[in-house]
Amino acid sequence: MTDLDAPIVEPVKTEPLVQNEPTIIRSKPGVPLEVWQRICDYLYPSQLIRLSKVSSLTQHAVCNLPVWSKVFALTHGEKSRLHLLPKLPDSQSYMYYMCAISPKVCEQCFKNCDFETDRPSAFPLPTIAPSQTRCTKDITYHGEPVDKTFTVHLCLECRREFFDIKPEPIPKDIVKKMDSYSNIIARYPDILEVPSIRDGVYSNSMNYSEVIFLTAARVLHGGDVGIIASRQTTEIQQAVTSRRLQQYVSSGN
Amino acid sequence: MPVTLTSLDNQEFKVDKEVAERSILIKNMIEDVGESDAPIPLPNVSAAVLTKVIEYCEHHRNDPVQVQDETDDPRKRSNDIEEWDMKFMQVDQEMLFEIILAANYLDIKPLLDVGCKTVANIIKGKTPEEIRKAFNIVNDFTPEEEAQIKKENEWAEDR
Repeated sequence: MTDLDAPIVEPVKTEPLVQNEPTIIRSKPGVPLEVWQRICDYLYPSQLIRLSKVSSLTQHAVCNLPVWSKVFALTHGEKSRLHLLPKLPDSQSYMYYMCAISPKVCEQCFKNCDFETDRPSAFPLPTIAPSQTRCTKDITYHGEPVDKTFTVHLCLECRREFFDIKPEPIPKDIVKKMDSYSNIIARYPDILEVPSIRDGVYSNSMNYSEVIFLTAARVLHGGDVGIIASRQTTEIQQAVTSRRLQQYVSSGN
Repeated sequence: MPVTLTSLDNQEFKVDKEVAERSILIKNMIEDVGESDAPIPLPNVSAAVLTKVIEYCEHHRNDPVQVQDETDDPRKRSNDIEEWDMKFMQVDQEMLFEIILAANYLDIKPLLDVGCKTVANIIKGKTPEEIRKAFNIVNDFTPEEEAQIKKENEWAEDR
């Protein structure tokens, strides 16, 4: 083990990065770092990470964002301290660390989920990034559809909030379908946790529309993505997280 | 009382004082100099860009002065852009960045914010390669660096 308490921050020894004026457009004055960082204020962590992969300048801008240490404080509490990596700006250590634990961190509220105690649907799950821009049709600049493969990972609470504003459509085949109470309950085993279902007057011998149960399950687990997760485990996320944490620790050695 | 602004390319613009004072830089200049007919030189802003900036300031002349919302809290971000502003920002990319730089120089925070939000909206659903294309950025990483970054920078996505 190397001494992690040795000088934490040293001057960067690789070739100097451009410090002041990263040029993002080819022409003239270039966008100053502080403007760049202002742009970054409006991006979620996963979007920032993608931006950091664009060029050495964007990487420099993203790695030096003060947001990473703030996010760390939101995730672990103000009093927590991180073992910073040597030879790197502090913010970059925070960024690497947050990337390491990202499978269990909500990108919106930065709640830190717990593999031991939280059920799978409580974890951050891919949700189409909330887009609050209203105008889409006549303005191509903003109307570019957000690629649905690019999602942000939101925890249960944030997904509930999101789907409350933007409800998921009811699948057509369910709208007309009637099924027995026991069949439906078998499909949504956790649904009896919902008081309105548990205490509702349902009879085993009667048929019901699935819509009401689906809706309750969506609220319970935070959308369809949550319902699917509720039937799975978080083993993969856990493995990814611990592998990356090890990587973080070993790069400090 | 109108104020005269002079652009980089020596064009003169007459605007109402309250419009001009949307720019904190100009507001401070006027306060420092006192009442004067002398034109205010803006050597960093071209006429084309200044025209746009004035259009913005005219439209927002009656807006309440923005309260400092620098909460620093990364949870409080909203990409919401007013409809008028969104239309206003429908310009080519070079102009978009020119407006941002002018807003930064002239210290017109709401305009700077709208510009930054617009750029953020362009970035948010894109891959690194698409971002490069959109902003004409050259990938200057060596293959080794790229591999290293791939290993260290990843948010949730890789499995």
